[in-house]
Amino acid sequence: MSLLGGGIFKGMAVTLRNFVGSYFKKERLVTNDYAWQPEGDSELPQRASEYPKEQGEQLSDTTTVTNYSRNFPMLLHDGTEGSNPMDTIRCVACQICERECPPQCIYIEKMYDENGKYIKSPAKFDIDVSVCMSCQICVEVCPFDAIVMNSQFELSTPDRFDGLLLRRDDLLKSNNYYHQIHPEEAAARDQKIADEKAAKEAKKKAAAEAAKKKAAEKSKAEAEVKAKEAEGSAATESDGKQEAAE
Amino acid sequence: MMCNYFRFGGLRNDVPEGWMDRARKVVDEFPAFLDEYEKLLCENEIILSRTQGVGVLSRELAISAGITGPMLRASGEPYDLRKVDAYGIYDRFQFRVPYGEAGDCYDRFMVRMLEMRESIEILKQALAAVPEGPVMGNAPRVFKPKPTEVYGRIEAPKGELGFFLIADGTTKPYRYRVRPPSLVNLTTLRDMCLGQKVADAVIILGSIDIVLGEVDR
Repeated sequence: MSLLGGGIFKGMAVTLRNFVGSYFKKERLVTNDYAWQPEGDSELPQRASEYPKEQGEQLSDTTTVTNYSRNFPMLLHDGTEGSNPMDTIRCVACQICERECPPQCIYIEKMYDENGKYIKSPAKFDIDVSVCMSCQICVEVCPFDAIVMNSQFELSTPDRFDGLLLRRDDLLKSNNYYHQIHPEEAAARDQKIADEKAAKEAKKKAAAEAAKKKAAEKSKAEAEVKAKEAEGSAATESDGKQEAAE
Repeated sequence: MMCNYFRFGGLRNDVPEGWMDRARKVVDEFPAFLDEYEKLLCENEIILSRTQGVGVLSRELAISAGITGPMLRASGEPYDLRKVDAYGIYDRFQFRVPYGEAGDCYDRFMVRMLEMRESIEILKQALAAVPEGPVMGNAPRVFKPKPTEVYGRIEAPKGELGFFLIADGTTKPYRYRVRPPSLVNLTTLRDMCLGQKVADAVIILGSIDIVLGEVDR
């Protein structure tokens, strides 16, 4: 060691260089709060002070987060914007996701009509996002592709109980919205659904054809048997005639 | 990364486009930052006088108390599960295991500083060797093991992270126990603090580098 305090001065020099550098290096000028760029200007990172531009604006309702962003689940319906989402909801309240959910943050109640008959849709579908750990297991187990991940992340609220409990109507989003936030995944999922449907129809058709064929074969066989019988009887008849002639 | 990305059989999906390049960039740039940290801290006289000779943990005590990780290595025992067990693919990487002599707070600090450089070396080799191909194998979703006991362990940043499982032949484990390194490492706090000043207790606690989630058992 050469000089007492030399190490401290060395450290101070590092601090000074970083301090001065933060005023001149362009990439260090502002802290990039969100991993997104404002439209048009891709040079400068977005300043946190410019957001939100308007009261109540939701950044994540637009396609500003990346394709890979996943936060909390949402429910899909096939309807368009104006229609009642409950008419086309994909969820049938089978409760598989409720059972599989590791932190058990999903609560489902089945819907019944006035006669007590089970209509295939959920009366209640609550997700407690303060408990949800974004594991995506509900998405993977869902056989109806009804639940997928949303990328909306601005869920801060002054009410930590009801405010963080997302109800069925908060969770319902259209398939178009899903296509907006995760285009590739949504396209793949739609393709999968279409394939499954096609496979099902093909199977049905094949089954119907097989049944038809079987029926045809059966009738043919019956006809053959009948024909044989007829031949046999004709033969016996002719035999009888011959005998009679002799 | 915590969102169920790693799972039995592989990963949920492939890394995003451009991720590998970004990772390589971090690996290339990080040593420059490490140089900066070392200039800032390692020769600072205040840090030297507050850490050298403070909170000495002898090698014998460290071994008999079951200390693992950087704390054990700082006490002069070059024991690293990545070398001892060579689990996973760690036998494919070239890296060194830094270890200290005195076992004081400064040694623990320096061992961690040196380990960061070795970690960067491992990452560099790993990134160069990542193969193309499917990211998910065919792992069964539900698995029924024979009744048995298993203990698996890895080298975590704090030390040996162990998982003990007893299977009773059903799909659910009969007993599942995690051995957290922080909890075990914290047990020697008293021995290290004896004979030291009160103000040093904070430094000693900091040099153990606990995670409270692991200590809370």
